[in-house]
Amino acid sequence: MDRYMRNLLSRKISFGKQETRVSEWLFLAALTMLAVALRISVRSFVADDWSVYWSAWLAELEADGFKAVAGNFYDYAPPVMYILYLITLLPINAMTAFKGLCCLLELIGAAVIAGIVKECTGSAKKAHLSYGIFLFLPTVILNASVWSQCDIIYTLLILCSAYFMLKNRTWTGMWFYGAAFAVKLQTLFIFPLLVILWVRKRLDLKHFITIPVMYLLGILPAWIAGRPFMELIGIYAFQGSKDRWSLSIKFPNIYQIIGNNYFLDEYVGAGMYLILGILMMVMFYMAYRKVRVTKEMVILMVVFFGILTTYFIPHMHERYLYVTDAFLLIYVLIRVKRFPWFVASAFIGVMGYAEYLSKNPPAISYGVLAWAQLALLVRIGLDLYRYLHNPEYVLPADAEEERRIL
Amino acid sequence: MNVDETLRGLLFRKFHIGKLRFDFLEALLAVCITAVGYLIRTPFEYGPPHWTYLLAEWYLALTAGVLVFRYTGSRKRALGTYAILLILPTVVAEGTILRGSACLGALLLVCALLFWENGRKWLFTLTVTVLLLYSVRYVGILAACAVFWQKEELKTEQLLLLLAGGGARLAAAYRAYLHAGYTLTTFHWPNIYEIVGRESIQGQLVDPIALVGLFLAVGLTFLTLWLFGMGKWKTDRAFLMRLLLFFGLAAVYFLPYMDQSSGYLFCVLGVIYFMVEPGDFLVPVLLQIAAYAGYQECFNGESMMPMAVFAVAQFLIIAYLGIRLLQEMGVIRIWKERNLSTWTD
Repeated sequence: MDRYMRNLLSRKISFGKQETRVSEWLFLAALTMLAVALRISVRSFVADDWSVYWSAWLAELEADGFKAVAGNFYDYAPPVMYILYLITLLPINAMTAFKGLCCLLELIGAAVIAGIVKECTGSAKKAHLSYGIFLFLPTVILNASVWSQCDIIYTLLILCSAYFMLKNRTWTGMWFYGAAFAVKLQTLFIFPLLVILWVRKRLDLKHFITIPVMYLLGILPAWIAGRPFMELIGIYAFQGSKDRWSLSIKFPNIYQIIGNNYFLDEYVGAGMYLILGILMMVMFYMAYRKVRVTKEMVILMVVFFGILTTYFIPHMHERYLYVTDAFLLIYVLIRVKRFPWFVASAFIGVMGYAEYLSKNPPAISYGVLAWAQLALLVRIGLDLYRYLHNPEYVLPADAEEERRIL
Repeated sequence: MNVDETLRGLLFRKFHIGKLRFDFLEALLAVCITAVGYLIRTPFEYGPPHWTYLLAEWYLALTAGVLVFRYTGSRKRALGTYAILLILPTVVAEGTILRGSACLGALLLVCALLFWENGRKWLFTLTVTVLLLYSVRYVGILAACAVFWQKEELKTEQLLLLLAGGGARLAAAYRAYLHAGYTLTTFHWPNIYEIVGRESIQGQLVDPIALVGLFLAVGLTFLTLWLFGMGKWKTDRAFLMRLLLFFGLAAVYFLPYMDQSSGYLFCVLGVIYFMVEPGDFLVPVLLQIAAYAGYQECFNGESMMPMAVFAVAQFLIIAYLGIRLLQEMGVIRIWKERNLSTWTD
């Protein structure tokens, strides 16, 4: 019996090109079941956002059907409303359906992360580890299953985009990026990466057409339903103008150090120009660094731009590091020495969630967390700087650059 | 050649206008960052400052860029300096929000450093004298000049002129400050008084804390000058910048009655220092945060974090610069040697 079990567990099963032991499949299955069980156990929590926004939007969709998307009662991108509309058609509780869908997307997201980790490191064990960590990351659990937020939707699309870009399937990757933009404006946090990839010949201008095309496809049904086209085009601009009561909404960035509640209107403009200027300088600097563009560099740049932009843009919410955390997880599994930074980032992120959900002020002030976040930004910035100056990656001035990610 | 290759080629194409050589991308950044520099000043209630002051800020960024070019020979670092100074939050806060004039002080020192770089020591002396007369917050630069004199980089008559200017300004300023009946010993500037307590002692002819602080600053400066006198002079630019930053910051850290604008000059010097010594990037970053926190408290009447936190950050910067200078000049080594040979006898 003992020998039989051991043989069974160590037997390898082929799945496509992958050959994995039964024990590892069982391990992944157990992780998945635990993750699902955890999400089921917290599904009944009703957050304020659900009772104030989501349920009101669902009520409109239930009353008027699909043509309700023509109204201006929502400030999310229309594709999210289409998902809500589909949920209204299901014969189950809307919140359970919504959280169930997000749970499914989280499982797929974890699998994509594992795929990227496998692609970058070649290690199946690291890939399995990343799958488990993502599913049990407190911010991931709290985001959808407790808070009823949907950051997993655009995060999954960005993860798919990165996955295909790293596999040098540029068009597919860019279609996913365009789809992510159609769902959430926060996709733009990592846009500078695409500009650098264009300068380094990994992208062409034609690939950028995917962004407006997917956005237009995303708003098309709402336009057909009757919402004015100009209103749909400007939906992200409206989103940016609605949180004017604080420069940082429980997000540990520069405004938590210098002042969060003053110059509310002035700093919106000034902060945007400041980050624009910073990004110009960073991109200028990177454009001149002729280096081998590896998978590690791409992941590192996603993390760097994700942290840099959110550190200076006003009106950031506590949830806006969701996508960055996913890529930071991938990065720390490439550079395992950096793992404590991921733990720190996850801890910083969960503080804002905890305050929103528990309605208690955080045990550690946001000012302290903002300093920690600055340290993380500096650490990641230094890693990128060292990469760009590493003789192993620096190319001679006259060298022809490869048109693929290595 | 397709559009992508044409555009990529254009980005790095070199242009010559007279003696000026630049890449298209450099020109693009220069134009765009100038536009951003203007736009970042527009959202505030009173809009951008008067065009003459805007011009002064632009000229400060330009001269600092030229100075960095002279120091490093790198066009990109010069452009980086120009870009950073145009959008530096402290610069925007001083000129646009506060409508202050600290830009002129920074401009004077950057011009003086350019004169120094060109070997025009008398012009350097005259410009720094004007700077010292302009505001007492720059008196630390006088101590740095005293080190230049110790190491025979300046003549005695030049030092005397500087001493006359700086001394007169210091005496005049503190004669007025000490009798003004201020209720605080620091005005939104995160220095030692934010740690020990910034409320003045009232009901006295002169606030004893401020008086002690004044003499402490002067005494510590003399002590440091004596220490630096033991060391060897280094000619590299990073050393020069460290020296100016150390003495300048240390003076305003201990002098009483300094205000938020005291950090302006050193934020500008910090950016130049970063371009000369990129490894020390944390110095300008921390300096910028601490200085801006002071401006923020000035505008809002309260600080998001205790000002003592920023004061500690400033102290760490000063301590780091001081220890590094003493190491570079060999003072610590000399101390150890003397300690082993003669001083223990």
